[in-house]
Amino acid sequence: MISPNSNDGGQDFELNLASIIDCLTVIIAFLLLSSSFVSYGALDTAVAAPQTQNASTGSEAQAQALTLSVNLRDSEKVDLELSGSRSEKRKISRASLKQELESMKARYPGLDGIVLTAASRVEYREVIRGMDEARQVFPAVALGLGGGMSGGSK
Amino acid sequence: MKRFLKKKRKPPSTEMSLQITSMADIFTILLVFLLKSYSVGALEVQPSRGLELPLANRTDAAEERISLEVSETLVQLDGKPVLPLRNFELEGATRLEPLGKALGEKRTGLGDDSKGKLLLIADARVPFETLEIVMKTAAQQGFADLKLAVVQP
Repeated sequence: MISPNSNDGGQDFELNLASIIDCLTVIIAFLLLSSSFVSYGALDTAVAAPQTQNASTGSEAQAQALTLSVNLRDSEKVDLELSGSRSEKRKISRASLKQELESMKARYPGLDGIVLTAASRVEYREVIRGMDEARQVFPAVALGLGGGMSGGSK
Repeated sequence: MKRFLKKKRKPPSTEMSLQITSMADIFTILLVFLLKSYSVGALEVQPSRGLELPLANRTDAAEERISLEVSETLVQLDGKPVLPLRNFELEGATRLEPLGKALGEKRTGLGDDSKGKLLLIADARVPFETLEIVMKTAAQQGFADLKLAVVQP
C-alpha cells in the first residue's frame, strides 16, 4: 500500500488509496442494500377490563378512585368522562384534546391514567394519534373495550 | 529560421493520475453516516406487504413478544393466518374460535415472563371495531398486556 517515490531512502511516499476505496465501496453498497430506513417503535398499553371503565360497579375503593375515559367519536369530536369520587362529562374538539387533558391533570392531581376508547368506525391511526397525545400528559393509557361482543362468534 | 530551430513541443503525457484522496474522504463520511443510521429502530418488525403502520412520536422500550398482525385481508398470529378479513372487517359469519384457539395454544407454550404479552401490528386503516374484537379475543385468552407497533417519524 505504500509506494516510495524514490529509491534514495527519502521520506516521501504515497499512500495507495485505491484498495481502501475498494473496501469502502463494498461496505457502503452492503450497508445501503441491507439497512432499513424505517424506524419502528412500540407503545405500551393494556386492555382495560370493562368493570374498570365503570367505577360505580366496582368496590368502594374503585368508586373513590378517579377514572378518566376519553372516547374518540370521530376525527373531530371527543367525549371526556370523569367518574369515581368526582363526576364530569364534556364534549370537546379533537384539536383541543391535549389542552383539555392538561387542564384535567392540573385540576385532579390524583388522576394518573386514562382509558381511551373509540367509536367503531374510527380508524386505528386516529386511536394511535389520540394515544400519542394523551401519553404526553398521562403516562398510562389503557385501551377500553366496549361490551358488544362476548366471544365465540361475531 | 529561429522558429524552425526551436525545440519540438513535447506531446502531452498519456498517463493520468486520478486524485482519489477527496473521494476517500467522501466515502468515509458516507460510511460513518450509514453505520450510524444502520440500526436505529427500537423494534424488529416485519410487517406484511402493503401494511401501513400508524405514526407515533413517543415510543417505549422494545421487547420480543409473539405478534398478532391485523392487515386488510388477514389476522396472523406469529406469521400464521388465523382469521380472514374483508376490507379490514370481519365478515358476518366469521367465527373467532380459530383465533382464540391459536392464542390459547401460544399462551400455554410461553414462559412466565412472556405470558399475557402481545405485540399488535395493525394497519393504520383498520376500524376500531375490528381491533376491539381481536383485542377482546386476545384478552379472553389472557393477553391483556399489549405493545402497539408504530412507525417513528
